[in-house]
Amino acid sequence: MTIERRTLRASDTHFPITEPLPDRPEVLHLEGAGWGALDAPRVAIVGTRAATPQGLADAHALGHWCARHGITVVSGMAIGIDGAAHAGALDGGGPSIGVIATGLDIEYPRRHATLYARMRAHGLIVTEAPLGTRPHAWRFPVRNRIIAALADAIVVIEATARGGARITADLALEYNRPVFALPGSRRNPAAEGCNALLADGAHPLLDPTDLLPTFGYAAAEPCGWDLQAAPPLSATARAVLGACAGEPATADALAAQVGLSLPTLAGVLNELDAAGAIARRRGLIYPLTTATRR
Amino acid sequence: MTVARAAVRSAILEGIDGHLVTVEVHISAGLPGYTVVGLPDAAVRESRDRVRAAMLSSQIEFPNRKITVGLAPSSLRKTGSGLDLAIALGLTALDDEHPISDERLTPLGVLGELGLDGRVRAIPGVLACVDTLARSGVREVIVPERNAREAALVPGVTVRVARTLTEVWAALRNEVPWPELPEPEPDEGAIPTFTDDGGDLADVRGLAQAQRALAVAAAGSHHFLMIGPPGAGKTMLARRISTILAPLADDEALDVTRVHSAVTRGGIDTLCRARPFRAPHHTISTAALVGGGTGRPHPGEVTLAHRGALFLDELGEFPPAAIEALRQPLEEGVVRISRLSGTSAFPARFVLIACSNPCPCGLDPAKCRCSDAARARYLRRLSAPLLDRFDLRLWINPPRAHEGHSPASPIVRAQVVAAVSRQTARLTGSPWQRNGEIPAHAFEALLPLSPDALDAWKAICDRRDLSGRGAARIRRVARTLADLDDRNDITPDDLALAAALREDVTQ
Repeated sequence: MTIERRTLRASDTHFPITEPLPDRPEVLHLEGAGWGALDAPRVAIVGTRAATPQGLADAHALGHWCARHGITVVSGMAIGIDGAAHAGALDGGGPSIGVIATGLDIEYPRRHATLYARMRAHGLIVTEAPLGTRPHAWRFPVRNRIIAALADAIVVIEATARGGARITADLALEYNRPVFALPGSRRNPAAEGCNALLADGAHPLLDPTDLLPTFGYAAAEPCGWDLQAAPPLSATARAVLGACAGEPATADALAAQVGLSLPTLAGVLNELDAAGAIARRRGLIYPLTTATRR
Repeated sequence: MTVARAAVRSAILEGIDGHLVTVEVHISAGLPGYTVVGLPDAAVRESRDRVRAAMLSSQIEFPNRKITVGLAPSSLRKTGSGLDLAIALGLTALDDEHPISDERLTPLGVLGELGLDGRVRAIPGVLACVDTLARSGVREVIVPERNAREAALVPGVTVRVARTLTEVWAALRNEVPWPELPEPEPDEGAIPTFTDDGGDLADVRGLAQAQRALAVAAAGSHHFLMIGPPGAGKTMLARRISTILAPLADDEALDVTRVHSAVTRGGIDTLCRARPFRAPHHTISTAALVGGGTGRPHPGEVTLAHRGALFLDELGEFPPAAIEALRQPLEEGVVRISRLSGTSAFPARFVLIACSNPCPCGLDPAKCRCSDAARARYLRRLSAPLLDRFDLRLWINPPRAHEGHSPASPIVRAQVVAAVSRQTARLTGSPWQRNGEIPAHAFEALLPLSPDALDAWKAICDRRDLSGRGAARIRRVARTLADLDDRNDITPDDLALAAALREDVTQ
């Protein structure tokens, strides 16, 4: 497959947004090799840039699940949830659509240069901005309406109270798309937006299979989020995971709670890290799975 | 006598090193006058008036003839007032009625500033100057009373105490005995520092991992960076490193004394026994931090912290140029300052403890509204090469109120002292003194790993995608952790903890 660049007008038969939405873009520029992405059902996975490692893991897992079930993941190529969702879809072997606010020739954020290359090779990059358009703050919320319009459903993984993800969700409601949100802890500022959406009547997404009825499939047994078979954990490792109780914790607190010396705890955390059961950031240990499921 | 000449050996301080200076005094017939030749600075040129006043106050006749004072080598710029006494003795030696013989004068080294009343005043850098004199064969030195104990630290030199010009003159002619060496003052070995509130580690609540890292830093000379929101206890913890540093060994104490004698106005009393702890404010200039300045280069804070700890609070607020200038001393333990007139090298082997807020606002994380970009920009001021030089990097989160007590400083200090002697035993015969200084090529010999530990080390490095330098640092820290626990073998858990103590703080 070769990477192709096309420009589609709203009047073209192949234009991906078929409904006559009020602010439908007149023209879309597309680039990439994964043109099949436009033929499959599409889910937008969106969320905050300031995501927790847990949110990133969930976005990646959901993107991965969608890819393996023939669902195209649409997102905004931003740092955080967006990037994790795209990466999950690509890792799962499916195409993905990245809707950007700049011209096709400008990659923003630059940290995602590798992701851009993967997306072009296996998916599509979409924008309404002409070539040479630089990132302007006002274009990002405007770009969000294309994400909402392209998707058949949208999932908000983690969102702050006022952020782009919330805008996308509001637009999706306006366009009559079902909105899903992952419930989160009240202690997590990155979950505030999701919890607010749920209070406003969004569907809770407790398991990836909750998406299936939206696409006309029968509901399935919950598959869980831990998609890869993890190596078995030692009893101490399970105890440490249990002590986290799903919330981020410092090593100091875990050592005190489980009663381990610092080197022993470090060894156990090392084991959990290697098994992909935790992520560490800014001095905190984020459990990515619960002890009970194993 | 129409022409007379006397020569006295003395020394001047340059940076922290002494330089031999021969003071020649020449008196001849002619119009009365006084000339100093041999690149004197203002302080040396003013010696004319000090010496004249001191001699008159001491009832010694000031020769009313043509006087030329030559300072050799004449190409070396002479600074400071330490040559006063040597010049005065040169003049008094030529006194018509009570001359001092050449045989008495030649083997001497003379240091000291004169007051107008004829009293001898203390000068900085006596240790370095006496050391230089001793190396050039001088076996007897005359130094100001306040510097006498400092001078006595140099082996093989007889120290003569100078209190007043009259007394020195008389003692040289064997009319009175030399005064006894003064008793040490009670606060022996105290080094001037910016903080005296050392406190105790037990004052710091929680932060068990950071406390361990501090002990590792103190024991193995591993540089330690803490990043975290204000109020988490970073500064409180960092300042307490002075309470757990091991005492100075004899040769280290001489090193430290040399530096502090050179920068302390009036010199210091005696040997420094405590490790220096320096905590300069972030408004410091690059020259003040690493050394330099106008004229002859002066040692900076990094040199004052030599063999001790340098604490930089709010690292992100320091001028970027100053922070980057730290790279050479961190790597080599020495600062080289190049000037057109030559290069000065100052010792600067210290353990660096640094703290920084994660973002410019310095607010509680819940209230912080700094954008991702602003945070990234703030942390980017700490360049990757600099961050790479920290063996220990921790993100400090505020401990919960109920988190437990920590061991008291004396307990941790005992562990540190034991760990230091373990290192000394292991590293004797190598060019290094602490684990933190061992380069990667010496690992197999000095930091061997069991097969288990080797596998663990490789697995950690692979998973964290570490550079060779990062991998090496983890191994060194693991060695210090084992030393603190008084164990011979590095375990896989030591390596895991060492890796956990070196977080990727810029995420």
